[in-house]
Amino acid sequence: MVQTEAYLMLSMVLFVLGTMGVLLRRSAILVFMSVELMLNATNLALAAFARQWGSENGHMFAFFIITVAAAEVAVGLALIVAIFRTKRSINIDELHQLEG
Amino acid sequence: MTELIVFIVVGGLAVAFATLMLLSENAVHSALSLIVTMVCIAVLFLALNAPFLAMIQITVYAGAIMVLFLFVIMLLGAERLLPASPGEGKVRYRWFAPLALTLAMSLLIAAGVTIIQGQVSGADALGLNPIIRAVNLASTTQTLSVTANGVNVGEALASRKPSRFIEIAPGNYDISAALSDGSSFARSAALAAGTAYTVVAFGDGELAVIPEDLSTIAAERSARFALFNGTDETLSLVDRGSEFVADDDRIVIAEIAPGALSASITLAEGVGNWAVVLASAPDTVWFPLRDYEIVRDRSTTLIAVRERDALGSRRPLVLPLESEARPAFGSPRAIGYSLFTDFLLPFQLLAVLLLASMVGVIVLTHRETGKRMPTAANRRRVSRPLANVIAAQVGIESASARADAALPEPEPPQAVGK
Repeated sequence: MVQTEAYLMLSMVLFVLGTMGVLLRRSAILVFMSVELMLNATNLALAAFARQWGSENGHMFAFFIITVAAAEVAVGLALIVAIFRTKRSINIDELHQLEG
Repeated sequence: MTELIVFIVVGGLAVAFATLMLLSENAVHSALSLIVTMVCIAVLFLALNAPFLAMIQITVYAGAIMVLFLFVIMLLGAERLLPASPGEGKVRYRWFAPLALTLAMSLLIAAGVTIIQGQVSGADALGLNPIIRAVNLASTTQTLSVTANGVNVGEALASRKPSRFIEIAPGNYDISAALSDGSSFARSAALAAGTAYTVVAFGDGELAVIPEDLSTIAAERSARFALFNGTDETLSLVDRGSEFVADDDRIVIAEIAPGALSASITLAEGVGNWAVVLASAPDTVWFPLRDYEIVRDRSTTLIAVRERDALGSRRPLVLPLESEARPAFGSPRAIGYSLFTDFLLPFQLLAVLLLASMVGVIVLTHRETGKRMPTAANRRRVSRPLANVIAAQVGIESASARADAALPEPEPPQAVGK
C-alpha cells in the first residue's frame, strides 16, 4: 500500500502547478483550467485521507467539490464569453477597468 | 508493489501533463493535457479504493467540464492569446513571474516538510462505535424496556419488534431489561467498537447479547446468516428443498448447542425452504421457514426461542432479525447511503446551487433580442447594408462603406448581467 504521504505530496505538487498557472498565465481560460487542476489536487488529497481514516466523508466532500466545480465552470465560462463579446479579448492583463 | 508502480507511473504522468498544460502556448493543447491529468487522477482514485469517485471524475471532469472548456475555446477562437493592443499586456506584469515561482516553490517545500513530519500514515483508522438494539421475545402480551448503563436502548417494545440501532460508546455495560409486569432481567456485557449487538430477552428471565456481523459481504449477490439457539435443546437448520419433505434434507447450520450462536454462513440470493429441527429428531419440523426470501447484502440472525403466549404455554419460534450489511468502502452503494442519510441537506443545497448557476449562465449569456424597441442606432445598422445594395445596383463603388458593412459593428460596452 502506497503511503498516504506520497499521495499528499503528489496532490501538493499538482496544487502548486495549478497555483502557478493561475498566477502566470494571462489567458482567462487557462487561469480557469488551472483552478480546475487545483480542485483536482484537493480531491486527490481528500480521497487519500478517506482511505487513511477508513471514513467515506472524504469521498462525499470530493463529490461535492466536483459538483460545485461543474457549476463554477458553467458560470465562469459564461462570464468569459460575456467579457469576450464586449472587450474582444480574454487577456486578463487588459481587464483592468477597476484599476487593479 | 503493483500499487507503487502504478502510483509512480500514473502520478508522474499527471505531473508531466499538468506541466505541459502550464507551458503550452495553444489553449487547445492545454485543455487536452488537462484531460490526461484528470484521467490519471481517476486511476489514482481507483488505487485509493474510491471507484465511484473515479467514475465521476472521468464522466464529469474529463468528460463534461473539459468538453465545455474546449467548446468555449473553439467558440471564441482563443487558441492563442492575442492581445488587443500588442505590447501593453506583455510588459505590464513581467516582474510578477519570478515572484510567483518563488512563492510556489516555498509553498511546496513548506507543505512537503509538514506532510513528512506530520506522519499521517502512522495514525490508526477511526474506530466505529458499537451499535445496539433490543428485541422482546419474552412475552407476547407485555412490553419490554431495555437500558444499558442507564442509556435507553428500547422502550415499550412489543413482542417480536426489534428497536432501532442506537450508537453507544465502547466499554462494559450492565444491561437490564424489564417487562411491563415488573419482572426484570439483567446481564453485563462488553461492547467492542465496530460491532452491532442485539439484546434478546427470552424465556424465564434470560437475556442474551448477540453480536451481529454487519461487515461487507464479500461474495456478490449473497446474504449472511447465523442461528442463535435460545432453547434448551440442540437445534439444526436444514434445507428441505422445494417439496418440503424430510427426504431431501440438506443441513445448512448443524447442531447448535443451547445458548450458542452459530458461525455465520454466506448464501446466494434466492428462496430458502428451511426448517429448524431438533438434533435429536431431525425428521420432525420444529419450526418451518418456508419460501424464505434470501435478500442480497443483508445480514440475518435467526433467533430460535420458546415463546410464552397469552395462555402461558411455550411455543417454538424462530425470528429472523434482518439488517443491512455495511456496503463496500467507497462503492456507489456506500456513497448513495451517506448521501441520503448524513449528507441530505448539503445535497439539497447543492441542487439549489446548480439550479442557481444554470439560471445565472442563462442571464449572463442572454442577449436581449426581439424585445428591444427600434432605436436610432438599430435603424442605422439596418439601413447601411441597404444603402450598399442600392449603391451596388446603381453602380457606384463605395469601398469604405462596404468594408464597414462587412465587419460586425462592435457593440457598445454593456453592463454584464443585463
